[in-house]
Amino acid sequence: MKAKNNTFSLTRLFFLGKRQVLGNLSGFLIAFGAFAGTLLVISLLAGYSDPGRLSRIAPLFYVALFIGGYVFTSNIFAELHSPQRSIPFLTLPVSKLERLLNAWLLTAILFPVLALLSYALVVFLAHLILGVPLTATAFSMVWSKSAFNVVMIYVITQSIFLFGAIYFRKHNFIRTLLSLFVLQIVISIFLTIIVYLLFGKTHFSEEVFVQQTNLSPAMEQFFTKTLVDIAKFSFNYLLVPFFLMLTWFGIKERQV
Amino acid sequence: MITIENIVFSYNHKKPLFEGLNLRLEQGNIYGLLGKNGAGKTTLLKIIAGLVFPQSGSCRVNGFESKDRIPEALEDIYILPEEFELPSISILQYAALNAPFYSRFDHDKLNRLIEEFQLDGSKKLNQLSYGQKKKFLLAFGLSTNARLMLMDEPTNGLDIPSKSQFRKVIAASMEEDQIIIISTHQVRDLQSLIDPVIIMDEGKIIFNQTNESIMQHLVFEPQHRLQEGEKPLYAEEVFGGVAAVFANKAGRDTRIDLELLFNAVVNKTQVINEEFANPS
Repeated sequence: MKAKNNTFSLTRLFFLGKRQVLGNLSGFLIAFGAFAGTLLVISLLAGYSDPGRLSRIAPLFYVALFIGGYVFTSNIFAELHSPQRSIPFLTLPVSKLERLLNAWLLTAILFPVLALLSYALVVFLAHLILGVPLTATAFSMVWSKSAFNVVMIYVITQSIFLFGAIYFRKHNFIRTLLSLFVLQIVISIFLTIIVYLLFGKTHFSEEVFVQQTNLSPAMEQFFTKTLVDIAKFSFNYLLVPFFLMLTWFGIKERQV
Repeated sequence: MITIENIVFSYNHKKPLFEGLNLRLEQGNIYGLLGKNGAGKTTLLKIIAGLVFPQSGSCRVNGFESKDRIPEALEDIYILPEEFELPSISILQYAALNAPFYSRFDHDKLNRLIEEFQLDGSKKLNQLSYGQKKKFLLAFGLSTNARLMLMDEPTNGLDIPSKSQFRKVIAASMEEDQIIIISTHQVRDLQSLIDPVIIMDEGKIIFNQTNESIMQHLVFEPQHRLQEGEKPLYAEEVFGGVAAVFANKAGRDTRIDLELLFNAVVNKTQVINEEFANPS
Protein backbone atom coordinates (compact mmCIF):
# COMPACT_ATOMS: atom_id res chain seq x y z
CA MET A 1 0.00 0.00 0.00
CA LYS A 2 1.29 3.45 -0.91
CA ALA A 3 2.27 5.51 2.13
CA LYS A 4 0.16 8.59 2.66
CA ASN A 5 1.89 11.95 2.56
CA ASN A 6 0.84 13.58 5.79
CA THR A 7 2.50 16.94 5.09
CA PHE A 8 1.30 17.93 1.67
CA SER A 9 -0.95 16.53 -1.02
CA LEU A 10 -2.01 18.52 -4.05
CA THR A 11 -5.21 16.48 -4.26
CA ARG A 12 -6.18 17.29 -0.68
CA LEU A 13 -5.32 20.95 -1.24
CA PHE A 14 -7.56 21.01 -4.30
CA PHE A 15 -10.45 19.39 -2.41
CA LEU A 16 -9.98 21.77 0.51
CA GLY A 17 -10.11 24.80 -1.79
CA LYS A 18 -13.14 23.38 -3.56
CA ARG A 19 -14.85 22.71 -0.22
CA GLN A 20 -14.19 26.24 1.00
CA VAL A 21 -15.25 27.98 -2.22
CA LEU A 22 -18.33 25.88 -3.02
CA GLY A 23 -19.35 25.56 0.62
CA ASN A 24 -19.43 29.36 0.93
CA LEU A 25 -20.34 30.14 -2.65
CA SER A 26 -23.45 32.20 -1.92
CA GLY A 27 -21.53 34.41 0.52
CA PHE A 28 -18.66 34.82 -1.92
CA LEU A 29 -21.00 35.72 -4.78
CA ILE A 30 -22.78 38.33 -2.67
CA ALA A 31 -19.44 39.86 -1.64
CA PHE A 32 -18.18 39.76 -5.23
CA GLY A 33 -21.43 41.33 -6.48
CA ALA A 34 -21.19 44.09 -3.86
CA PHE A 35 -17.53 44.68 -4.74
CA ALA A 36 -18.10 44.89 -8.51
CA GLY A 37 -21.46 46.67 -8.13
CA THR A 38 -20.01 49.46 -5.97
CA LEU A 39 -17.13 49.94 -8.39
CA LEU A 40 -19.55 50.06 -11.31
CA VAL A 41 -21.87 52.61 -9.68
CA ILE A 42 -18.95 54.88 -8.76
CA SER A 43 -17.47 54.48 -12.25
CA LEU A 44 -20.81 55.39 -13.83
CA LEU A 45 -21.18 58.45 -11.58
CA ALA A 46 -17.63 59.53 -12.35
CA GLY A 47 -17.91 58.88 -16.08
CA TYR A 48 -21.37 60.41 -16.50
CA SER A 49 -20.21 64.01 -16.30
CA ASP A 50 -16.77 63.40 -17.78
CA PRO A 51 -16.18 60.16 -19.72
CA GLY A 52 -12.46 60.86 -19.57
CA ARG A 53 -12.54 60.04 -15.86
CA LEU A 54 -13.30 56.43 -16.69
CA SER A 55 -9.66 55.82 -17.43
CA ARG A 56 -8.68 57.39 -14.10
CA ILE A 57 -10.66 55.28 -11.63
CA ALA A 58 -7.78 52.91 -10.95
CA PRO A 59 -7.01 54.42 -7.48
CA LEU A 60 -10.58 53.65 -6.49
CA PHE A 61 -10.05 50.05 -7.56
CA TYR A 62 -6.85 49.86 -5.52
CA VAL A 63 -8.65 51.10 -2.42
CA ALA A 64 -11.36 48.48 -3.00
CA LEU A 65 -8.72 45.79 -3.56
CA PHE A 66 -6.94 46.56 -0.30
CA ILE A 67 -9.98 47.02 1.92
CA GLY A 68 -11.94 44.14 0.34
CA GLY A 69 -8.88 41.89 0.37
CA TYR A 70 -8.02 42.61 4.00
CA VAL A 71 -11.61 42.01 5.12
CA PHE A 72 -11.79 38.79 3.08
CA THR A 73 -8.44 37.64 4.48
CA SER A 74 -9.49 38.47 8.04
CA ASN A 75 -12.50 36.17 7.70
CA ILE A 76 -10.83 33.25 5.93
CA PHE A 77 -10.65 31.20 9.15
CA ALA A 78 -14.20 32.04 10.22
CA GLU A 79 -15.06 28.32 10.28
CA LEU A 80 -12.29 27.76 12.79
CA HIS A 81 -13.54 30.45 15.16
CA SER A 82 -17.15 29.28 15.24
CA PRO A 83 -17.71 26.83 18.13
CA GLN A 84 -20.31 24.95 16.08
CA ARG A 85 -18.26 24.74 12.88
CA SER A 86 -14.73 24.34 14.19
CA ILE A 87 -15.02 20.65 15.14
CA PRO A 88 -15.75 19.32 11.62
CA PHE A 89 -13.16 21.70 10.18
CA LEU A 90 -10.37 20.74 12.57
CA THR A 91 -11.04 17.02 12.21
CA LEU A 92 -11.09 17.19 8.40
CA PRO A 93 -8.23 14.98 7.18
CA VAL A 94 -5.95 17.69 5.83
CA SER A 95 -2.55 18.84 7.01
CA LYS A 96 -1.68 22.14 8.66
CA LEU A 97 0.34 23.15 5.60
CA GLU A 98 -2.65 22.49 3.34
CA ARG A 99 -4.92 24.58 5.58
CA LEU A 100 -2.39 27.42 5.45
CA LEU A 101 -1.76 27.21 1.69
CA ASN A 102 -5.47 27.01 0.96
CA ALA A 103 -6.16 30.18 2.96
CA TRP A 104 -3.18 31.97 1.42
CA LEU A 105 -3.96 30.95 -2.17
CA LEU A 106 -7.59 32.05 -1.83
CA THR A 107 -6.82 35.41 -0.25
CA ALA A 108 -3.45 36.39 -1.73
CA ILE A 109 -3.71 34.93 -5.22
CA LEU A 110 -7.29 34.12 -6.19
CA PHE A 111 -8.79 37.27 -4.66
CA PRO A 112 -6.55 39.80 -6.51
CA VAL A 113 -6.96 37.86 -9.77
CA LEU A 114 -10.77 37.95 -9.41
CA ALA A 115 -10.58 41.59 -8.33
CA LEU A 116 -8.58 42.48 -11.45
CA LEU A 117 -11.04 40.58 -13.64
CA SER A 118 -13.98 42.31 -11.98
CA TYR A 119 -12.24 45.64 -12.49
CA ALA A 120 -11.86 44.85 -16.20
CA LEU A 121 -15.54 43.87 -16.28
CA VAL A 122 -16.52 47.11 -14.56
CA VAL A 123 -14.47 49.15 -17.04
CA PHE A 124 -16.13 47.29 -19.91
CA LEU A 125 -19.66 47.69 -18.52
CA ALA A 126 -19.15 51.36 -17.62
CA HIS A 127 -18.00 52.13 -21.19
CA LEU A 128 -20.89 50.13 -22.59
CA ILE A 129 -23.56 51.78 -20.42
CA LEU A 130 -22.23 55.30 -20.92
CA GLY A 131 -21.75 54.71 -24.66
CA VAL A 132 -18.07 55.62 -24.50
CA PRO A 133 -15.97 53.83 -27.13
CA LEU A 134 -13.71 51.20 -25.65
CA THR A 135 -10.00 51.71 -26.19
CA ALA A 136 -6.95 49.73 -25.22
CA THR A 137 -5.99 52.48 -22.76
CA ALA A 138 -9.23 51.90 -20.86
CA PHE A 139 -7.88 48.50 -19.78
CA SER A 140 -4.26 49.56 -19.52
CA MET A 141 -4.54 50.16 -15.77
CA VAL A 142 -5.69 46.60 -15.26
CA TRP A 143 -2.60 45.06 -16.77
CA SER A 144 -0.06 47.84 -16.14
CA LYS A 145 3.15 47.53 -14.18
CA SER A 146 1.80 49.91 -11.55
CA ALA A 147 -1.23 47.64 -11.09
CA PHE A 148 1.14 44.70 -10.68
CA ASN A 149 3.17 46.61 -8.08
CA VAL A 150 0.04 47.54 -6.16
CA VAL A 151 -1.11 43.90 -6.21
CA MET A 152 2.33 42.83 -4.98
CA ILE A 153 2.07 45.28 -2.07
CA TYR A 154 -1.35 43.82 -1.34
CA VAL A 155 0.06 40.27 -1.43
CA ILE A 156 2.82 41.27 1.00
CA THR A 157 0.71 43.23 3.47
CA GLN A 158 -2.26 40.84 3.47
CA SER A 159 -0.06 38.21 5.15
CA ILE A 160 -0.33 40.33 8.32
CA PHE A 161 -4.12 40.11 8.10
CA LEU A 162 -3.85 36.36 7.48
CA PHE A 163 -2.05 36.05 10.78
CA GLY A 164 -4.69 38.30 12.38
CA ALA A 165 -7.34 35.97 10.94
CA ILE A 166 -5.98 33.01 12.91
CA TYR A 167 -4.74 34.89 15.97
CA PHE A 168 -7.92 36.77 16.87
CA ARG A 169 -11.16 34.89 17.46
CA LYS A 170 -13.57 37.77 16.82
CA HIS A 171 -13.59 41.05 14.86
CA ASN A 172 -10.37 39.97 13.17
CA PHE A 173 -10.16 42.83 10.66
CA ILE A 174 -10.67 45.64 13.16
CA ARG A 175 -8.41 44.02 15.74
CA THR A 176 -5.59 43.49 13.23
CA LEU A 177 -5.92 47.08 12.06
CA LEU A 178 -5.91 48.33 15.65
CA SER A 179 -2.87 46.19 16.48
CA LEU A 180 -0.96 47.61 13.51
CA PHE A 181 -1.89 51.14 14.58
CA VAL A 182 -0.81 50.54 18.18
CA LEU A 183 2.40 48.85 17.03
CA GLN A 184 3.22 51.79 14.79
CA ILE A 185 2.63 54.27 17.62
CA VAL A 186 4.78 52.22 20.02
CA ILE A 187 7.63 51.93 17.49
CA SER A 188 7.46 55.67 16.74
CA ILE A 189 7.59 56.59 20.42
CA PHE A 190 10.44 54.13 21.03
CA LEU A 191 12.49 55.46 18.09
CA THR A 192 11.83 59.06 19.06
CA ILE A 193 13.12 58.38 22.57
CA ILE A 194 16.21 56.57 21.24
CA VAL A 195 17.00 59.35 18.79
CA TYR A 196 16.47 62.02 21.44
CA LEU A 197 18.75 60.22 23.89
CA LEU A 198 21.46 59.80 21.25
CA PHE A 199 21.33 63.13 19.47
CA GLY A 200 19.32 65.45 21.70
CA LYS A 201 16.81 66.08 18.92
CA THR A 202 13.64 64.34 17.86
CA HIS A 203 13.28 65.50 14.31
CA PHE A 204 15.83 66.01 11.54
CA SER A 205 16.45 65.12 7.95
CA GLU A 206 18.84 62.49 6.62
CA GLU A 207 21.25 65.26 5.54
CA VAL A 208 21.35 66.86 9.00
CA PHE A 209 21.72 63.42 10.51
CA VAL A 210 24.82 62.71 8.39
CA GLN A 211 26.34 66.15 9.07
CA GLN A 212 25.66 66.21 12.80
CA THR A 213 26.70 62.71 13.61
CA ASN A 214 29.94 63.08 11.67
CA LEU A 215 29.85 59.48 10.45
CA SER A 216 32.61 57.76 8.58
CA PRO A 217 31.80 57.12 4.88
CA ALA A 218 31.27 53.44 5.57
CA MET A 219 28.82 54.14 8.38
CA GLU A 220 27.08 56.79 6.33
CA GLN A 221 26.70 54.23 3.54
CA PHE A 222 25.31 51.78 6.06
CA PHE A 223 22.73 54.16 7.49
CA THR A 224 21.62 55.81 4.28
CA LYS A 225 21.82 52.89 1.84
CA THR A 226 22.41 49.46 3.37
CA LEU A 227 19.85 49.89 6.14
CA VAL A 228 17.26 51.08 3.63
CA ASP A 229 18.07 48.13 1.36
CA ILE A 230 17.71 45.75 4.30
CA ALA A 231 14.33 47.28 5.13
CA LYS A 232 13.20 46.98 1.50
CA PHE A 233 14.45 43.39 1.26
CA SER A 234 12.73 42.49 4.52
CA PHE A 235 9.46 43.99 3.32
CA ASN A 236 9.61 42.39 -0.12
CA TYR A 237 10.90 38.93 0.74
CA LEU A 238 10.74 38.26 4.48
CA LEU A 239 7.42 39.67 5.61
CA VAL A 240 5.25 37.08 3.81
CA PRO A 241 7.24 33.98 4.90
CA PHE A 242 7.42 35.36 8.46
CA PHE A 243 3.68 35.88 8.80
CA LEU A 244 2.89 32.64 6.97
CA MET A 245 5.06 30.83 9.48
CA LEU A 246 3.26 32.54 12.38
CA THR A 247 -0.08 31.60 10.80
CA TRP A 248 1.07 27.99 10.46
CA PHE A 249 1.87 27.91 14.18
CA GLY A 250 -1.53 29.48 14.85
CA ILE A 251 -3.21 26.64 12.92
CA LYS A 252 -1.05 24.02 14.62
CA GLU A 253 -1.82 25.25 18.12
CA ARG A 254 -5.49 25.90 17.45
CA GLN A 255 -7.91 24.19 19.85
CA VAL A 256 -11.68 24.37 20.07
CA MET B 1 -6.84 1.18 19.76
CA ILE B 2 -6.79 4.27 22.01
CA THR B 3 -4.14 4.65 24.66
CA ILE B 4 -4.37 7.51 27.10
CA GLU B 5 -1.45 7.82 29.48
CA ASN B 6 -1.07 10.19 32.40
CA ILE B 7 -3.06 12.99 30.91
CA VAL B 8 -3.11 16.26 32.79
CA PHE B 9 -5.56 18.82 31.51
CA SER B 10 -7.06 21.98 32.91
CA TYR B 11 -9.15 24.78 31.50
CA ASN B 12 -7.72 27.08 34.13
CA HIS B 13 -4.51 26.44 35.97
CA LYS B 14 -6.10 26.45 39.41
CA LYS B 15 -8.07 23.24 39.25
CA PRO B 16 -7.06 20.56 36.74
CA LEU B 17 -9.91 18.55 35.24
CA PHE B 18 -7.72 15.52 34.56
CA GLU B 19 -4.74 14.70 36.76
CA GLY B 20 -2.88 11.69 35.42
CA LEU B 21 -5.81 10.12 33.57
CA ASN B 22 -5.16 6.67 32.09
CA LEU B 23 -7.44 4.72 29.79
CA ARG B 24 -7.13 2.01 27.19
CA LEU B 25 -9.89 1.34 24.69
CA GLU B 26 -9.95 -1.71 22.46
CA GLN B 27 -11.36 -2.24 18.98
CA GLY B 28 -14.70 -3.94 18.42
CA ASN B 29 -16.47 -2.18 21.30
CA ILE B 30 -19.14 0.46 21.71
CA TYR B 31 -18.07 2.28 24.85
CA GLY B 32 -20.67 4.18 26.83
CA LEU B 33 -19.13 7.19 28.50
CA LEU B 34 -21.34 8.26 31.36
CA GLY B 35 -20.95 11.00 33.90
CA LYS B 36 -22.57 13.98 35.52
CA ASN B 37 -22.41 17.43 33.94
CA GLY B 38 -18.86 18.74 34.12
CA ALA B 39 -17.38 15.30 34.76
CA GLY B 40 -15.09 15.69 31.73
CA LYS B 41 -16.81 13.48 29.13
CA THR B 42 -16.86 16.00 26.29
CA THR B 43 -13.33 17.17 27.10
CA LEU B 44 -12.13 13.57 26.98
CA LEU B 45 -13.75 13.12 23.56
CA LYS B 46 -12.10 16.34 22.38
CA ILE B 47 -8.69 15.20 23.62
CA ILE B 48 -9.10 11.89 21.79
CA ALA B 49 -10.08 13.75 18.60
CA GLY B 50 -7.10 16.14 18.94
CA LEU B 51 -9.35 19.15 19.39
CA VAL B 52 -7.89 20.16 22.73
CA PHE B 53 -4.36 19.43 23.91
CA PRO B 54 -3.47 18.04 27.32
CA GLN B 55 -0.83 19.95 29.28
CA SER B 56 1.08 16.69 29.68
CA GLY B 57 0.69 12.99 28.96
CA SER B 58 -0.19 11.35 25.69
CA CYS B 59 -3.26 10.26 23.80
CA ARG B 60 -2.60 7.88 20.92
CA VAL B 61 -5.25 6.77 18.45
CA ASN B 62 -4.25 3.84 16.25
CA GLY B 63 -0.63 4.68 17.01
CA PHE B 64 -0.87 8.39 16.17
CA GLU B 65 -0.61 11.17 18.73
CA SER B 66 -4.03 12.77 18.46
CA LYS B 67 -2.85 16.36 19.01
CA ASP B 68 -0.67 16.14 15.89
CA ARG B 69 -3.85 16.00 13.78
CA ILE B 70 -2.17 14.38 10.80
CA PRO B 71 -4.38 13.50 7.82
CA GLU B 72 -3.82 9.74 8.05
CA ALA B 73 -4.99 9.74 11.67
CA LEU B 74 -7.89 12.12 11.02
CA GLU B 75 -9.22 9.86 8.25
CA ASP B 76 -9.90 7.33 10.98
CA ILE B 77 -11.66 9.70 13.38
CA TYR B 78 -15.17 11.01 13.04
CA ILE B 79 -16.79 13.09 15.76
CA LEU B 80 -20.48 13.79 16.00
CA PRO B 81 -20.66 16.82 18.28
CA GLU B 82 -23.64 17.76 20.40
CA GLU B 83 -23.85 21.22 18.85
CA PHE B 84 -23.09 21.91 15.23
CA GLU B 85 -23.84 24.30 12.41
CA LEU B 86 -24.11 23.11 8.85
CA PRO B 87 -23.60 25.16 5.69
CA SER B 88 -26.37 26.30 3.42
CA ILE B 89 -25.82 23.53 0.86
CA SER B 90 -27.73 20.37 0.05
CA ILE B 91 -27.07 16.99 1.64
CA LEU B 92 -25.65 15.66 -1.60
CA GLN B 93 -23.44 18.72 -2.10
CA TYR B 94 -22.10 18.36 1.43
CA ALA B 95 -21.29 14.74 0.76
CA ALA B 96 -19.64 15.59 -2.56
CA LEU B 97 -17.45 18.26 -0.95
CA ASN B 98 -16.45 16.33 2.16
CA ALA B 99 -16.35 12.67 1.12
CA PRO B 100 -13.14 12.99 -1.01
CA PHE B 101 -11.11 13.52 2.16
CA TYR B 102 -11.94 10.00 3.33
CA SER B 103 -10.32 7.36 1.14
CA ARG B 104 -12.61 4.58 2.41
CA PHE B 105 -15.80 6.61 2.03
CA ASP B 106 -18.71 4.38 1.05
CA HIS B 107 -21.21 6.32 -1.11
CA ASP B 108 -23.59 3.36 -1.33
CA LYS B 109 -23.72 3.17 2.44
CA LEU B 110 -24.46 6.90 2.63
CA ASN B 111 -27.30 6.60 0.12
CA ARG B 112 -28.69 3.61 2.01
CA LEU B 113 -28.58 5.45 5.32
CA ILE B 114 -30.06 8.63 3.85
CA GLU B 115 -32.92 6.50 2.58
CA GLU B 116 -33.26 4.69 5.89
CA PHE B 117 -33.37 7.98 7.80
CA GLN B 118 -35.90 9.29 5.25
CA LEU B 119 -33.81 12.30 4.35
CA ASP B 120 -34.16 14.21 1.10
CA GLY B 121 -30.74 14.49 -0.55
CA SER B 122 -31.66 17.63 -2.43
CA LYS B 123 -32.77 19.51 0.68
CA LYS B 124 -30.50 22.19 2.09
CA LEU B 125 -28.85 21.24 5.37
CA ASN B 126 -29.77 24.47 7.13
CA GLN B 127 -33.44 23.80 6.35
CA LEU B 128 -33.43 20.46 8.18
CA SER B 129 -34.58 20.05 11.77
CA TYR B 130 -31.97 19.44 14.47
CA GLY B 131 -32.80 15.73 14.56
CA GLN B 132 -32.59 15.40 10.78
CA LYS B 133 -29.24 17.18 10.74
CA LYS B 134 -28.00 14.81 13.39
CA LYS B 135 -29.17 11.79 11.42
CA PHE B 136 -27.42 13.09 8.34
CA LEU B 137 -24.16 13.67 10.21
CA LEU B 138 -24.43 10.19 11.66
CA ALA B 139 -25.02 8.73 8.18
CA PHE B 140 -22.06 10.67 6.82
CA GLY B 141 -19.85 9.65 9.74
CA LEU B 142 -20.68 5.98 9.38
CA SER B 143 -20.04 6.19 5.64
CA THR B 144 -16.49 7.51 6.20
CA ASN B 145 -15.69 4.06 7.65
CA ALA B 146 -13.55 5.79 10.25
CA ARG B 147 -12.22 3.30 12.77
CA LEU B 148 -13.03 5.64 15.65
CA MET B 149 -16.40 7.28 16.04
CA LEU B 150 -16.96 9.71 18.85
CA MET B 151 -20.52 10.73 19.62
CA ASP B 152 -21.53 13.37 22.10
CA GLU B 153 -25.15 12.99 23.17
CA PRO B 154 -26.16 11.39 19.86
CA THR B 155 -29.78 10.74 20.79
CA ASN B 156 -30.52 14.28 22.00
CA GLY B 157 -33.11 15.80 19.71
CA LEU B 158 -34.07 12.52 18.05
CA ASP B 159 -37.71 11.48 18.08
CA ILE B 160 -38.75 8.05 19.43
CA PRO B 161 -38.63 6.14 16.10
CA SER B 162 -35.32 7.80 15.26
CA LYS B 163 -33.78 6.61 18.52
CA SER B 164 -34.51 2.99 17.71
CA GLN B 165 -33.37 3.60 14.14
CA PHE B 166 -30.16 5.03 15.56
CA ARG B 167 -29.53 1.91 17.66
CA LYS B 168 -30.27 -0.34 14.71
CA VAL B 169 -27.97 1.54 12.35
CA ILE B 170 -25.09 1.68 14.83
CA ALA B 171 -25.38 -2.02 15.65
CA ALA B 172 -25.51 -2.93 11.95
CA SER B 173 -22.57 -0.71 11.01
CA MET B 174 -20.24 -1.77 13.78
CA GLU B 175 -17.10 -3.44 12.44
CA GLU B 176 -14.54 -5.59 14.24
CA ASP B 177 -11.80 -2.99 13.87
CA GLN B 178 -13.94 -0.07 15.01
CA ILE B 179 -14.27 1.75 18.31
CA ILE B 180 -17.39 3.76 19.03
CA ILE B 181 -17.50 5.99 22.08
CA ILE B 182 -20.88 7.37 23.02
CA SER B 183 -21.03 10.05 25.65
CA THR B 184 -24.55 10.35 26.92
CA HIS B 185 -26.95 11.17 29.72
CA GLN B 186 -29.76 9.35 27.92
CA VAL B 187 -28.73 5.94 29.21
CA ARG B 188 -32.10 4.32 28.59
CA ASP B 189 -31.87 5.18 24.87
CA LEU B 190 -28.61 3.33 24.45
CA GLN B 191 -28.77 0.65 27.10
CA SER B 192 -28.89 -2.18 24.59
CA LEU B 193 -26.00 -0.79 22.59
CA ILE B 194 -23.37 0.10 25.12
CA ASP B 195 -20.69 -2.36 26.17
CA PRO B 196 -18.41 -1.68 28.09
CA VAL B 197 -19.54 1.06 30.45
CA ILE B 198 -17.18 3.82 31.54
CA ILE B 199 -18.28 6.19 34.26
CA MET B 200 -16.48 9.46 34.94
CA ASP B 201 -16.73 11.73 37.92
CA GLU B 202 -14.79 14.91 38.54
CA GLY B 203 -12.25 14.10 35.85
CA LYS B 204 -11.60 10.55 37.00
CA ILE B 205 -12.58 7.21 35.53
CA ILE B 206 -14.40 5.69 38.47
CA PHE B 207 -15.79 2.63 36.68
CA ASN B 208 -14.79 0.71 33.56
CA GLN B 209 -16.36 -2.72 33.08
CA THR B 210 -17.81 -4.87 30.34
CA ASN B 211 -21.47 -5.88 30.46
CA GLU B 212 -20.44 -9.47 31.02
CA SER B 213 -18.42 -8.52 34.06
CA ILE B 214 -21.21 -6.28 35.39
CA MET B 215 -23.75 -9.09 35.07
CA GLN B 216 -21.35 -11.51 36.67
CA HIS B 217 -20.83 -9.33 39.72
CA LEU B 218 -24.04 -7.38 40.19
CA VAL B 219 -27.76 -8.00 40.33
CA PHE B 220 -30.17 -5.20 39.52
CA GLU B 221 -33.56 -4.98 41.14
CA PRO B 222 -35.27 -1.87 39.80
CA GLN B 223 -38.48 -2.56 41.76
CA HIS B 224 -37.81 -4.28 45.04
CA ARG B 225 -39.14 -4.58 48.58
CA LEU B 226 -36.26 -4.93 50.95
CA GLN B 227 -36.52 -7.93 53.28
CA GLU B 228 -35.08 -7.95 56.72
CA GLY B 229 -31.39 -8.71 56.68
CA GLU B 230 -31.04 -7.92 53.01
CA LYS B 231 -28.01 -5.73 52.38
CA PRO B 232 -27.90 -4.15 48.96
CA LEU B 233 -24.69 -2.54 47.74
CA TYR B 234 -26.81 0.43 46.79
CA ALA B 235 -30.48 1.27 47.08
CA GLU B 236 -32.62 4.24 46.19
CA GLU B 237 -36.25 4.89 46.80
CA VAL B 238 -38.57 4.56 43.86
CA PHE B 239 -42.34 4.60 43.62
CA GLY B 240 -43.61 1.52 45.41
CA GLY B 241 -40.33 0.31 46.90
CA VAL B 242 -36.63 0.58 46.23
CA ALA B 243 -34.34 0.13 43.27
CA ALA B 244 -31.36 -1.83 44.51
CA VAL B 245 -28.06 -3.24 43.35
CA PHE B 246 -26.91 -6.44 45.01
CA ALA B 247 -23.78 -8.50 44.82
CA ASN B 248 -24.41 -11.41 42.48
CA LYS B 249 -23.65 -14.19 44.94
CA ALA B 250 -25.96 -16.75 43.37
CA GLY B 251 -24.82 -16.22 39.80
CA ARG B 252 -28.16 -14.77 38.76
CA ASP B 253 -28.65 -13.35 35.33
CA THR B 254 -30.40 -9.96 35.46
CA ARG B 255 -30.73 -7.16 32.98
CA ILE B 256 -28.34 -4.26 33.54
CA ASP B 257 -30.14 -1.12 34.57
CA LEU B 258 -27.67 1.54 33.44
CA GLU B 259 -29.34 4.36 35.30
CA LEU B 260 -29.27 2.38 38.53
CA LEU B 261 -25.70 1.29 37.89
CA PHE B 262 -24.68 4.90 37.28
CA ASN B 263 -26.28 6.11 40.50
CA ALA B 264 -24.75 3.21 42.43
CA VAL B 265 -21.27 3.86 41.07
CA VAL B 266 -21.42 7.62 41.60
CA ASN B 267 -22.77 7.31 45.16
CA LYS B 268 -20.96 4.16 46.29
CA THR B 269 -17.87 4.13 44.11
CA GLN B 270 -15.68 2.21 46.49
CA VAL B 271 -18.30 -0.38 47.46
CA ILE B 272 -19.17 -1.18 43.85
CA ASN B 273 -15.58 -1.34 42.67
CA GLU B 274 -14.61 -3.54 45.58
CA GLU B 275 -17.29 -5.98 44.50
CA PHE B 276 -15.44 -6.33 41.20
CA ALA B 277 -12.00 -6.56 42.81
CA ASN B 278 -12.99 -8.90 45.66
CA PRO B 279 -16.41 -10.46 45.02
CA SER B 280 -18.26 -11.05 48.31
